Amino acid sequence: MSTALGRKVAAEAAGGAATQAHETPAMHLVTGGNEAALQLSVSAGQPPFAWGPALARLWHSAPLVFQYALFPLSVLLVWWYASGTELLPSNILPSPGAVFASFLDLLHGGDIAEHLFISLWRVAQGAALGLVLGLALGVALGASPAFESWIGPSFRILVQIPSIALIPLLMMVLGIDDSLKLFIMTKACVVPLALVTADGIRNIPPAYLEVARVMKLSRWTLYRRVVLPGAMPAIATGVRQGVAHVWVALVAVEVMASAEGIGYLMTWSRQIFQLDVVLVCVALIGLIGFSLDYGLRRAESRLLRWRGRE
Amino acid sequence: MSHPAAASALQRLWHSRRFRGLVPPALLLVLWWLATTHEWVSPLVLVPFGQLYDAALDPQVFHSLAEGIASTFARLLQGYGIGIGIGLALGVGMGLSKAFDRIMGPSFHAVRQVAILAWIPLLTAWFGTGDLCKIVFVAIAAAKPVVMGAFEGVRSTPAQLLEVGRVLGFSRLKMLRWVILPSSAPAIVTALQLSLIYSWFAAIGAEYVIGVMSGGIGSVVMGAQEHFRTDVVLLGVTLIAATGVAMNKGLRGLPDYLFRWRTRG
Repeated sequence: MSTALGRKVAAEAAGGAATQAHETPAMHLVTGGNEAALQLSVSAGQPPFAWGPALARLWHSAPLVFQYALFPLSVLLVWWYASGTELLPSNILPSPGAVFASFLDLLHGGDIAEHLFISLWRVAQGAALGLVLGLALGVALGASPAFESWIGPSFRILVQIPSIALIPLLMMVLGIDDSLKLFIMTKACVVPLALVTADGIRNIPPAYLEVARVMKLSRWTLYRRVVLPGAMPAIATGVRQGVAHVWVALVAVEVMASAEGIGYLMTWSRQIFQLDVVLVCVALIGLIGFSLDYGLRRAESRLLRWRGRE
Repeated sequence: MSHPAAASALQRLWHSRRFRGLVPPALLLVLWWLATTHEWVSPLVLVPFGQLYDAALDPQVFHSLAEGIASTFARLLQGYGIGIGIGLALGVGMGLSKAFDRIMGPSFHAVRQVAILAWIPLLTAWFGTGDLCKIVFVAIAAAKPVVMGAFEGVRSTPAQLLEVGRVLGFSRLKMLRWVILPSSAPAIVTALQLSLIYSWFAAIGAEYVIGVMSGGIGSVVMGAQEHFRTDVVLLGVTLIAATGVAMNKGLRGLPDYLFRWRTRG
């Protein structure tokens, strides 16, 4: 005990000496009349650094739009140049125009819309099942210490294993039909939702529960009026994460084992070297992931508006 | 042997969390054993324990699994190294400079939205189905969490610390070295650790998709799956999952250990 204390004191003394050693040259700099530089860096405000004065002036005079557009435009330019001069063969790197054309083509021809619709329908099914099971599991884990003690440890091990790792095994048990996809999507949704919901319920301030007990609320009213609103922010976050995971998981399964859906369309187009279609699919997958996240975020903030700002 | 003592010991066991946690896996094992001995399901789907035991001891199986793990790890480390290098540069850069964030941020967030395995068809077309493709894929997977962690870490440097640095007239490099990096280090280390586990499963996913030809534990498992060697699939998947869980558990204490110099609060 005493040695530990001694060590701590020694460490603190050493730390103090170190800071002092740093202070001396720095103080010297300040007193050396570096006020202009000081002024500049203070006025720069938010980000930790200002750029060098000249660069800074350039950046501040450049309209924001230019900064936003710089990187995407340069990528587009390099892409356009590389495909235009056939730096890479066009079946490896289709031109931006070709990709856009095939996007319109696929949209009109209905092929991509059809596969997309199949995928989205699957997502809806997986999310519906996952949300119900995830909420039930989360509430049980959060509200019942007994249930938590029996099931919790196994669940927390299972959580660490992404469904993607289990696909070969599941393919042998479930085949490569819809049941495989449904299982993987459901697991992908249940895991974050149940974890977050259980935490949300466990973290309801005990004072609220005490008030409820004093008021002799019935079990149903307790859940309806105290537990549900208290855990709502956590649940909303869990739903958003769960649905995002469903989408990622579905794309993974479709790329690996499927005969329809956008993931399948992508692998199939890759096999016949229609990379323009592959690129369109990548963009669409990103767009849908973004829209799901954005839409649910909006819904979340609407749902939680009553909480006000904290 | 007094009765009450035994009873209370039993009661303590019944209420101990450790015992309760072990019950569901034990029940599953019993169910599995019953299912295989009574042949409720085809042995192609659920292998008997004996067969699994034999497979685990079969030198050929052992050799292919060990070789697979080794080659997956070799690629994992290369991809991870590249990925975290790029990720740190992007994340720290975006955190330090608003202008750089405006230039790279939207593109990064757009790319981030794409489900990770959706890159594979494109990458196999551009980089072939060999090592290079998988290294690039792992690098993409590894960079994602690192960019976000580094960005958050740098951005949440307490304003007071920055002010102290400014008052002391720190140069930009000094500010980075003595203020911003120490302050954001925990967030960055956590991100690096998350990223390693994420990369591990990404590497496996890539091997599953690319298939038998590519080498690595994932393709060994896929090959076994095509030949209906359920025992090998089961061993392989267990090995993959256990590696992930072990990495998770082994690295969990790392940030606390590394940053024990930080005061609590």
